[in-house]
Amino acid sequence: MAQPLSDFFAAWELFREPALAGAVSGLLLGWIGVYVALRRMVFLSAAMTQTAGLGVMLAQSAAATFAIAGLAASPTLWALAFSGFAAAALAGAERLRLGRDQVLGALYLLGAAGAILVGAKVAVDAHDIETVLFGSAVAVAPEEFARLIATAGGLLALHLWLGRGFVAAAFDAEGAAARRLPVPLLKVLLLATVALAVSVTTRTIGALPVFAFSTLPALAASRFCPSLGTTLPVAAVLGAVAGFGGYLAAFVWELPVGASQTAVALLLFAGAAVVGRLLRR
Amino acid sequence: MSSALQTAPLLTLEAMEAGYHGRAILPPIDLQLHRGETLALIGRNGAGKSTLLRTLLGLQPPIAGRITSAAGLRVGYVPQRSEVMAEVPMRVQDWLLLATDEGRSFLRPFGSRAARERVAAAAERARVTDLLRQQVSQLSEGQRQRAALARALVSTPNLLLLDEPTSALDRVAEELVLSVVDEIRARGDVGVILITHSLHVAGTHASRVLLLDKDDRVVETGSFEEVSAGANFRRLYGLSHAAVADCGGH
Repeated sequence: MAQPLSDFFAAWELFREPALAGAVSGLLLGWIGVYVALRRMVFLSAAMTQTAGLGVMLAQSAAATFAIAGLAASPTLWALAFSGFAAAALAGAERLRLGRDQVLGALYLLGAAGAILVGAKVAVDAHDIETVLFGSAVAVAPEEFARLIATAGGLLALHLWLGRGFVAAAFDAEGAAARRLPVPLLKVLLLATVALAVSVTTRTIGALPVFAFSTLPALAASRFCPSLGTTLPVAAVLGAVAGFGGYLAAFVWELPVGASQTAVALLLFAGAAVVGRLLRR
Repeated sequence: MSSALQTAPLLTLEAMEAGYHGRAILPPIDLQLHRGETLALIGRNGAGKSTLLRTLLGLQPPIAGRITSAAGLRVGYVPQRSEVMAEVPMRVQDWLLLATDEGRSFLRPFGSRAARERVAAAAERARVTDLLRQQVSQLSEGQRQRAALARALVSTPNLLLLDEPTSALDRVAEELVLSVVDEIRARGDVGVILITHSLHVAGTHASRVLLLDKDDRVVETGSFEEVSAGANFRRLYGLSHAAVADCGGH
């Protein structure tokens, strides 16, 4: 049975942080996802979100097992370390001429299986595992929300500043190198921003919606936008709509949040595909 | 520009050895390229032409020797296949605008009016003004290579490096692209280095050729007639005098 929408806004104080966390995560990942999805690196996002999820689980288990606290037990830092490891492994794979897909597949499985195994072996509630992997959390702590806002603001500002460099390094690497742009540095920075965005948002909203937001809004926007200059902001807006709308839908129809946000992103993608087809006629 | 600068070579290679992973694959090359010249790099598949071009582009360092560039050298580069993935929305005008950034100019937050003017001028020279609003992924091969040439021209280069720019084109499209290159070179302020598998192109559009073969350790330079008359050329290509003449050797 559906909940009236007015109830949601009547209890806005309660839902403000998680609903806006979905929107901000979608906004950030929608923008950054353009580089991931349109470079046919969808699996990069999947591998990073899963390894970040493993990092969160390990942080929780380390805190529970060894009674550590503070920064050493920070799930965000552990998530960042693991998604950073995934990015470094990928960069190493390119240098060592290993297949990128093989490395990404291995990282994905390491993250997914590792999170479940760690969760099974230590005293972590099954709900915590679900929260990390599928984003089933309905609440976001204020300090976590503040961390997300700061990260998203910083990363989006960096992307606005270095945007032309990132686009050149991502979509025209050889030409950019010939024009003496610092392509290796830009690629590392870009990958670092992906890793940071994925780790912070995975900690906040869970791996499943993070994967969805870092791929589907970009793919949707590219269906009808004429240029990357419009695709980037449109993908960000679509991501924000999926994040907020998905949370709203989860409230109204009493659905798991992460799956609901992913479903809204899928609907937006389907709608964009139709619009794109109509525009091309 | 002073006349001394105008007549100075654009590029000077002194005992320069190209290769990768610290190993030279070609013998040392001594060469000068001047403004108004077109140098064609010819040789069989895997001869080392692209390795040499990538070294000249600065994408990989020389293994030994020296490359000296003229002061104020600006390089335009046309790759063999100029691809934009189908799912990446990119109009020709945006593709050209992307090529206006050099060095660290991307740090400036907004593109300038001057950059847009350079795009318009380059598009006109490469005859792609009517394509500016089209998606790159929807261009024909010939249109895409002309757009790629326009990209190379937005930096107002005095050295154009072209890696088999017409290999995927039919004869009509090939002539259209090469006529644009000839027009640019004929102005006298631009030097061109062109990789080609077409002896016809080398014979009719290049003022000099550089014959390369890494397996046989061949580096031979001269006019097309001189090089094609040599034993190395005939061994590598297995052509008769008459066949070479058909290629357009003067």
